[in-house]
Amino acid sequence: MTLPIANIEVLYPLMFACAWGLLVLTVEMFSLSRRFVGIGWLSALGLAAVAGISLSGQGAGEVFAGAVALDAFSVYFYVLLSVLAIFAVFLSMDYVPLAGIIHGEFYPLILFAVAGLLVMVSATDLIVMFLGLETMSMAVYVLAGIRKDELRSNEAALKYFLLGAFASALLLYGIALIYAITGSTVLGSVANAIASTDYLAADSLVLMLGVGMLLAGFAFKIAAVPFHLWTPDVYEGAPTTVSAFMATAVKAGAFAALLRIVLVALAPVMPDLSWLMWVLAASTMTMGNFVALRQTNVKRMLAYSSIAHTGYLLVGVTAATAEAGAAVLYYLAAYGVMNIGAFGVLAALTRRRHALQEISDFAGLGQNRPVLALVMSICMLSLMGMPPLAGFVGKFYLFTAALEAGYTVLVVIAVLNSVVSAAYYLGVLRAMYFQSADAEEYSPRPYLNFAVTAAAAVTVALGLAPSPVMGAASRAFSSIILGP
Amino acid sequence: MEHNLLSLMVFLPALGALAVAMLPKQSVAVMRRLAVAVSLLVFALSALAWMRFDASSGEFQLVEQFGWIPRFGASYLIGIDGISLLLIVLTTFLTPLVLISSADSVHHRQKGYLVSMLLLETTMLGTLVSLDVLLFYVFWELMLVPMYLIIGVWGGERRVYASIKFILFTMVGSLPMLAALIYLGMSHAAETGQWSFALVDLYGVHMPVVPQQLCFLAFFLAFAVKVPMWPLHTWLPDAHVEAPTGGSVILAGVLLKMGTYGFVRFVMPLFPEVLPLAMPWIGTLAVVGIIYGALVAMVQPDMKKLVAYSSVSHLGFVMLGLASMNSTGVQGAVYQMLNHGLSTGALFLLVGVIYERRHTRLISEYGGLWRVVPVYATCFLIVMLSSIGLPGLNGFVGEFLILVGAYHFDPVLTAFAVSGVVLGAAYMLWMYQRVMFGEVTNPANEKLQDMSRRELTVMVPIIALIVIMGVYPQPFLHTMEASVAATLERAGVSAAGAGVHGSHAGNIPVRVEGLALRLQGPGSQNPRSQSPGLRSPIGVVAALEGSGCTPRSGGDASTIRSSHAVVGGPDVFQAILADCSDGPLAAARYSALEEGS
Repeated sequence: MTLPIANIEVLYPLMFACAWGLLVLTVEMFSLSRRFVGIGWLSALGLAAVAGISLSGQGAGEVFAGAVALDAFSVYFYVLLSVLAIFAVFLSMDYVPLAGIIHGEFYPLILFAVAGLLVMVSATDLIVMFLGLETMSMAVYVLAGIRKDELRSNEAALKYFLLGAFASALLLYGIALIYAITGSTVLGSVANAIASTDYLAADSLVLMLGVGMLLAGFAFKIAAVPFHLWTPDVYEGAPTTVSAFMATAVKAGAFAALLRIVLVALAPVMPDLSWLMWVLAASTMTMGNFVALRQTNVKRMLAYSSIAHTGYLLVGVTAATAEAGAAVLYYLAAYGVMNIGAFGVLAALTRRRHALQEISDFAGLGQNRPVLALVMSICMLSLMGMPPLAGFVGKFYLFTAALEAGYTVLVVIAVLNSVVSAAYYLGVLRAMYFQSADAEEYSPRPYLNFAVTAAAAVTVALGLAPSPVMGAASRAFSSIILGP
Repeated sequence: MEHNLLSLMVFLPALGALAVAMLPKQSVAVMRRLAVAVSLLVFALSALAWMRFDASSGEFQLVEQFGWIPRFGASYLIGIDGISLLLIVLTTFLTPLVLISSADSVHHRQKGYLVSMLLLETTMLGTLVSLDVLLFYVFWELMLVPMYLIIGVWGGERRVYASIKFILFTMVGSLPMLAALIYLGMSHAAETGQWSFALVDLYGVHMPVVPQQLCFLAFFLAFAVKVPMWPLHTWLPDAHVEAPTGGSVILAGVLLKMGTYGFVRFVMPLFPEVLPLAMPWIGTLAVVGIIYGALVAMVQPDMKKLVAYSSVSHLGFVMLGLASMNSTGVQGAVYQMLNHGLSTGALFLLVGVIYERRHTRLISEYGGLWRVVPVYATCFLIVMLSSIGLPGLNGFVGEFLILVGAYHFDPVLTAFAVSGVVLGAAYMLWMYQRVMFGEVTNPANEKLQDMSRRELTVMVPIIALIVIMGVYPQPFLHTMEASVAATLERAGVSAAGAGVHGSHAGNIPVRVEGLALRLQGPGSQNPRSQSPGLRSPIGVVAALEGSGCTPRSGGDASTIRSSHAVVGGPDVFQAILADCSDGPLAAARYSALEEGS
């Protein structure tokens, strides 16, 4: 079998990301200092280059017989994932030595995870998508457990690995079943094949089974109820910057793949399955928010909050219109930035080998670290949906699109959920400003401080001037709708 | 600056907050001076805006606009009319006083307090100048954050509870409003193909009756919580009692007015068809609030709580004036908003003065203060008399106008409201008597210091304004007159139709097939309005069948008669007006109004 490689430039960003990962790994082997700051810079540089290359290669088309596409959708996510990963790298440059992580593989692993994510978001073939997902997952399994001497980190890695493997199996089984019915794994062909069969007939139950397994596999990756149980434990146990990366970049990548599948390959089935997405969305956000209310550990709270936000995003997937899809893309950017800021503040509060994670640890932050407290406030208020921050514009966009699509009840549930979420996000503000505590001495953390301040600034900017990103999201989404 | 006067005014406090935040923590005096200077500058800018303002027009003026989310037609669109202008001046007037008084009442984390206060001013001014509904919502919600911090950080013992209650009540109250305004934007999109949140565009949206009623309820809920109207007032006493003095002053003086202001600005013009149905209910709730607030205030042992409940009563008057839907009542309501801001703000300041000395606000702890602190007692007397509406002071003007307006609306309700005036006098005078008169019963009060120079600096301007507004209300009434008339016209009440005064031939509702339509008339056009785009954006759907309108000449009007409906701009309608004699059209208006009610 020969593969036509006519459009090899489609793969440039991907190839570059992999090559740069290997380069960083090699450089790290020969570096004498164990501080890894230079390695961090090198990684950030490579990630920035990935974003640049993908922007310049926009519209290059498809390669490998329609298995990978560098359409506007891919480019949007390439840039978004690179930016989020750069944030994660900057956070790590101070956090890694603080947390006592002595393994140089840290940054190369992030790059490999990004490479996997890039494959995943630009894949237009189920098998390639799975390949990307596994590449990414392998790297993240290791990252979650990179603090080998830490019990919780080990637990996180093991839990994530076992459940992740289970989800991968489900996913693969689903792909196989779909292939059995449609005879293809290319998204567009799958859609055509499904459209031409009477998929509700009894003998096509196999197809529905496949679709169900596929969705279940993705529900695990995006942490949707009832496949969310791993999330709080893994986020809590993993190094904070890895949690940040997982909650933002990995989630964005998984959503990108889910959008491609649901709105392209499964487009003909979705009208009959929108109830399922509806239930998934409603239960995910409600569960996430109500359980988050009871958390005293901020990292766990953020984990449940990320589940709740999965629910909001699923509202957009449920609506499944072009507007809703664009809104999901915008929301992923807004959510990514504000969430990475919140995790970043957590990382910034780390003392040597001791993570400060309880809400009570935030007491007095408003007085002792005013800038950090302000950043945290902006991130919390934005996650809550306070105008005019990014989170508000994102929710507004998302819910309006869902309203236009006629999902009034679901939007009402989502709005009520936002009210509930206010209670726990404000709880952090309460601790920071209403309670006082003695000031602590901190070692200087220039990169962390820079990264979280930048995240907060972007959160504000995305709310005040949302048009460029909204426009990009809209173009990106229409590129996959009109594609095949 | 010529074109960005309002923006400058809105964001200057935020810049000031940034500057204060940069100063080192120790230099409290410097940062307070800086904050006061900034807020005085803002006051000067608002005065300048008043000078630029053309009071003869009810149009929005000093308009500024640039895009924010073009996808949804939301823009940074700001401007003022007479009503918002007066509230803006009230805000910029109170803020420096509060900042000065913070020297006495805030003893820790002064920097944060000054920063929060200045940010609060930006959000309050932003709320008042917003002419884009989404922008309004942004400032409206943002306003909660600094107030939340002010109550929560610098408040009393139960401050955490009070601050959470405050923010959750108002936030839950305003979420339905968000849904309703999205619906309005969607309706505009459905009608014209273009999203818009600009208020003047939304005035022209036609909605079926049921959604209009639901949207009305959503907006009403948001504003009723803020006002607060009985029975949604329970957050208010908690917030007031726990808030620091300055927080209470701003909360009572400005934040509560946002509810009544929202009612004037949004509810009345946006949902004219619902008003005839809703106003009796609102009037009733308002009167219940008046009497309930007064009765509960009477039994309060705590002075601050007493003043807090008196707010519920006073804002009941404001709502009653608005519910009367005639220009006397609405003007009185707006005037009473200003009065309440001044007198209640001053009362909170005065309670704060004595609290700083004795650290108690219980009435029973005091008595005979008249002899110990005569200046304080005099100030208190004037403010209290203003609050109960003594002729010659500002409170009288507002209450009188409201009651006259309300009498045209519903004499029975007015009778009950008057009893509220009596009760108001009773609880205030009784409190004054117990605190000020008689012998000094508590030895702790014998050595009380009278008002310091700083406290007098804060109090004298307020008292001066109280007297001026009582003796010479004309400038204030003149500023709002045209705007109130324009608002009432948008609300479907012609100033002439309500039998008061005025000669605007503005929007005329005509009921056709169960749907009342507003026609943009020539009366509301104003050559001095600074935004040509704002003047008459509404595509007028004129359906004049059954109006008895006889065209004097051919052309447009006969086309209308034959096709029952045309879509056109104000020029079309001007032609119609020219064709019809005033009589039949006015008759159509009256019959439409009757049908509506």
